[in-house]
Amino acid sequence: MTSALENLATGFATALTLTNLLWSLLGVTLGTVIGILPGIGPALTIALLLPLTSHLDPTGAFIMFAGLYYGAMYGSSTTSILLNTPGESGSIITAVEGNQMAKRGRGAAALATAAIGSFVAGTIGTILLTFLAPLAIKLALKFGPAEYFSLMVLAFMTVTGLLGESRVRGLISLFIGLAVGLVGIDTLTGQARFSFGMPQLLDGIDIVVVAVGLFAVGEALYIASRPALASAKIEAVKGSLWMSREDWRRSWRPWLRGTALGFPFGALPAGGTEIPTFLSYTLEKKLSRRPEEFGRGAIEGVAGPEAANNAAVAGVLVPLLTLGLPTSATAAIMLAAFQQYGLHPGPLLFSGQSQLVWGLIASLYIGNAMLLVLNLPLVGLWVRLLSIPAPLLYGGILVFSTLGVYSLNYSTFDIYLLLILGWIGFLMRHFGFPVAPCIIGLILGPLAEQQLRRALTISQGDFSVLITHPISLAFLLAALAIIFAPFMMRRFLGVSAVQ
Amino acid sequence: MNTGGKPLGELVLGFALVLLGILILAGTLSIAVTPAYSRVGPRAFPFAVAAGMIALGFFYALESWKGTQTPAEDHAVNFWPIVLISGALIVDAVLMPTLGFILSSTILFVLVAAGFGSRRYLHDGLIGLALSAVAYVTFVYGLGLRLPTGPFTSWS
Repeated sequence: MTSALENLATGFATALTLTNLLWSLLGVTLGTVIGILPGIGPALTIALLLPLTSHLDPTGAFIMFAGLYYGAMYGSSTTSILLNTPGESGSIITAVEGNQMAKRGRGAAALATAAIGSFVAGTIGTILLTFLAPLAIKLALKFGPAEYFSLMVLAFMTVTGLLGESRVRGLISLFIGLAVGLVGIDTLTGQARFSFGMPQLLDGIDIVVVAVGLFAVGEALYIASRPALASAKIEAVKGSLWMSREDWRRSWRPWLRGTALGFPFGALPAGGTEIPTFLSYTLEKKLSRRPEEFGRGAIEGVAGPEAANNAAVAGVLVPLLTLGLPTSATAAIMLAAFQQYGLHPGPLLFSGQSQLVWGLIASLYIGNAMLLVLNLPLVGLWVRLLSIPAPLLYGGILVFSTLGVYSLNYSTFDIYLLLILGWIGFLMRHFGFPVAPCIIGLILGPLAEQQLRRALTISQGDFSVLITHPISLAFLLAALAIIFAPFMMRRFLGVSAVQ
Repeated sequence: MNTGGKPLGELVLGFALVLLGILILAGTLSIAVTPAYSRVGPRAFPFAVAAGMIALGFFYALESWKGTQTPAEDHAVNFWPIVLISGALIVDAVLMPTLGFILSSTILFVLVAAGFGSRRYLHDGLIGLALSAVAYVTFVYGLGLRLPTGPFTSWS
């Protein structure tokens, strides 16, 4: 305990320098903006920033990225409430319940409970991160290559099995990512693989191109081809921005319960922010004395899920920082950012780069406080962003997308590649495939291969090493269980969330 | 996408995935292997990916055929915007080295906006030009990126 507090104190010393405060402010502001704007999310934005930040100080860059991730969760709730379009997948529930509140003239109260709930959950989540990270590091030290490989297999299964409505589609998305990850020189033998004789492909297909192609170009093609999706009605912010005593009374328990659901879902390799928001909504509806209000603007149905998605974001940082295991698309891009700086999340990061890690964690407390100010009194400012017409918004997104992708290698080859991945992204959306497993497969696939081959080199080719190590066996069994669990979970969620 | 009761698009996609798996398999077999690594060399993992892709593509097609795979939501798809936006990216990639970042991005902006149904070409062009110019100045002078200047050689 004491060592975590000491580390946190030195972290604050790093985070409170003027430069890092400015990085944090830039991150949370940018996060709020992209969270509010439909069509851009934190994964896409961090991907676009990667080539631009490659020669910056990594501490500042990661403080900005983490602030951006938190900020996007705050901002997307605003869009969900006022536009009925979830800015991010974690805000789907808010888009239903919060928009109902806005339609009934309670938009301001919905925004307030979302922002304060996000602050409460984000802060509790960050406290949990502070104290759990050192424990997770102790666990990580026990892991060898076999354990890491099995853990990654487990992460693949949770990310694909729990997200979306079809396991087959999730797995196909994962395998597309794994396949793209194969392209380039094999790191262990130096053999060229799947480069089709093109020198541009020897270094592999950059995750920036894949993320920007799937998210920005794919999304643009999808929305543009469906005229019905391009227009939506913005609700005006009505009512007092301060919640009434009644609103507070009805909100604080859902905040805490949402936090309790969200954090573990992010921290265990269970994938993403979506599931806990659905669980939180279902739970609040069950516990409510007025369940008939749900679906017609119940404040609990905004407070709980909004707390859950922010707590999940804090949770996601635990496996990312301590094990190098991303459980969301944004975390996968952040892992790519660590790789860009030659840093490897895990025990070595905490011992060798403790200033960076603890500065990052401390900055989350500061960022959360900044976000509360940005999103509560200043919300009227951001709402104007929603009136940017879609043609100009997507025109701008694609200009910045090509800028980011071109500057990777200063080559227009990557723009053609971007278009091809955009088509893949379009097809995935068209046929209802989730995109996140593809991104995670791309970044984690080559790492899983490395760990597997390391494990098998140590065991001299004996595959039984994966099941004779007890931790590894446990992960693989859990992965198997996951394949069967979502079927039951989907029934439970599907029945209760639709009604 | 429903043609004659069977989801044609899903079936085609399923078989395309099987085909992709077969291509990965073929690619895997062409990876040169040094004997020292023969047991778990550079082929093992691609082989697993190929096998998984073939199985999943087949399974997806089968589920779609039987109707157990819930089909994706059915919106009317407009193909013209897809052509326009794809064309915009190709034009951008072709013109950027000669016209420079600012002008090619302006053209990209106008074409994408047109893909989203805007008909105010001059208005969009001016906004696109301003945005591209600001982006150029910020990233070239602020962050030291090297973007193609095009005809504005005196700027660099």
